[in-house]
Amino acid sequence: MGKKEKLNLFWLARKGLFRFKLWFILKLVIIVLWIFFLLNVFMAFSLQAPVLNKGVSQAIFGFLFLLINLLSLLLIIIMTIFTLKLRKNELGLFRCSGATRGDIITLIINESMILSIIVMIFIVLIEFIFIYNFRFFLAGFLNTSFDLPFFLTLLKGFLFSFFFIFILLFLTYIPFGFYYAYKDPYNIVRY
Amino acid sequence: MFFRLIDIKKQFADKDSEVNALDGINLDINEKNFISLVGPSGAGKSTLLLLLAGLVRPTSGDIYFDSMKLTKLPDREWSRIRRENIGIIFQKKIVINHLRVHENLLAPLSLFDYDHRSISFHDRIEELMEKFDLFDLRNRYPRELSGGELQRLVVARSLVTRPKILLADEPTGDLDLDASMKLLEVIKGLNKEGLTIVMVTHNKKLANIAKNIYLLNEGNIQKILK
Ligand SMILES: Nc1ncnc2c1ncn2[C@@H]1O[C@H](COP(=O)(O)OP(=O)(O)OP(=O)(O)O)[C@@H](O)[C@H]1O
Ligand SMILES: [Mg+2]
Repeated sequence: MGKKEKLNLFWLARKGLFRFKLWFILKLVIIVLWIFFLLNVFMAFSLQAPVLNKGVSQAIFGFLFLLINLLSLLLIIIMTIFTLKLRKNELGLFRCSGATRGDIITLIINESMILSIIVMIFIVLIEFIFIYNFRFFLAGFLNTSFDLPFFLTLLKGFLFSFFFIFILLFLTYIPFGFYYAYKDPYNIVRY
Repeated sequence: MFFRLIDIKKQFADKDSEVNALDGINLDINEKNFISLVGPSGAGKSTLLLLLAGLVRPTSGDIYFDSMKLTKLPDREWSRIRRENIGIIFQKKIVINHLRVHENLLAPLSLFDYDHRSISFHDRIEELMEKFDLFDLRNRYPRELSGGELQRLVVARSLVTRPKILLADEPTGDLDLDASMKLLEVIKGLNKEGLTIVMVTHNKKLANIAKNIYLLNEGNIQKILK
């Protein structure tokens, strides 16, 4: 006799998600890495720029930082929309075979948690590699020494932006959950 | 008595036009019955089937299931009834493209409180793969199946939860007559074992396999004597 535990809807959905999305995620990762590379080149060049006072260079750095976060955000939103759109059959079929609205919403929330965490780890890694590689340039560029307080300031900035991304990812994902939960089940799979 | 439909009407309203897909349907579906629904295209056959599945709500009229009035129930109860009693084969063959054949069969079971590794779930799937000749295809993706194989997958999936009633919208789809007859023999066997079946078909010959034939035309239903 088998154990009486729930065959996990989440587990099965996950299996599919990772299998068919892996190449897609990889592609996006490559694109993002390219963008980071170009940003790095840009920064390296700006270091050669003759006269940049501290205010201006910090503004540029701030702008680049924002850009990175906006790009990650874009990545996340594109991923969300694609994965959910491509998985409409799955969600619709679950509904048609008797999943309740609650089941679908729970599934989506669990999934968004996992995805957010993966994406966040990914971004943290990239940003740290980025900062670490360019720490001396950065210090020179920002006209400051790369010491512990500076590092902690950066860290705070990171943590804030990660939190921001996490919330936004969550907010982009959840409406889809409700959309699929409340749409007519048959109309989800029909088109 | 299983299902009882009383004066069911279903209208689809667009901005400027209105379609009476079903126009006053009265129908009893008894346990262990095997009903064929025939009728011209656009007659409302699929709509009637979806209505029985609780996937379309009637504009007016009442549906009873096991003397429970469905029309008033909240979505959660409909879902439960669907999950525990109903197997559906849609007219369009809908599968989860990124899951393999045996995972597609498992999917509906994930809504139940059992472990899929338990003997009964696995046996169920193996039994169905055997019955519908899917065993050798178990590790394929749906895009690697032929039309007929896909058809068999969809039929097998509708049965995996051991439903009490099977709602089949052209289950023989684009199979040739021989393959259709073969599939219907299997379905007929299931009926003998106690499964109630409502099947939509265009083919008169296939319709004759059923115990009762109903003709749907312009939203009205009438029984045809065999
Ligand atoms: N979601 C919908 N919105 C608007 N009209 C619809 C919708 N579903 C069905 N109809 C209309 O209701 C009528 C009955 O459609 P239905 O799909 O039940 O026909 P059918 O008998 O299954 O036809 P076929 O044999 O071609 O599958 C048709 O006129 C169709 O255009
Ligand atoms: Mg139809």
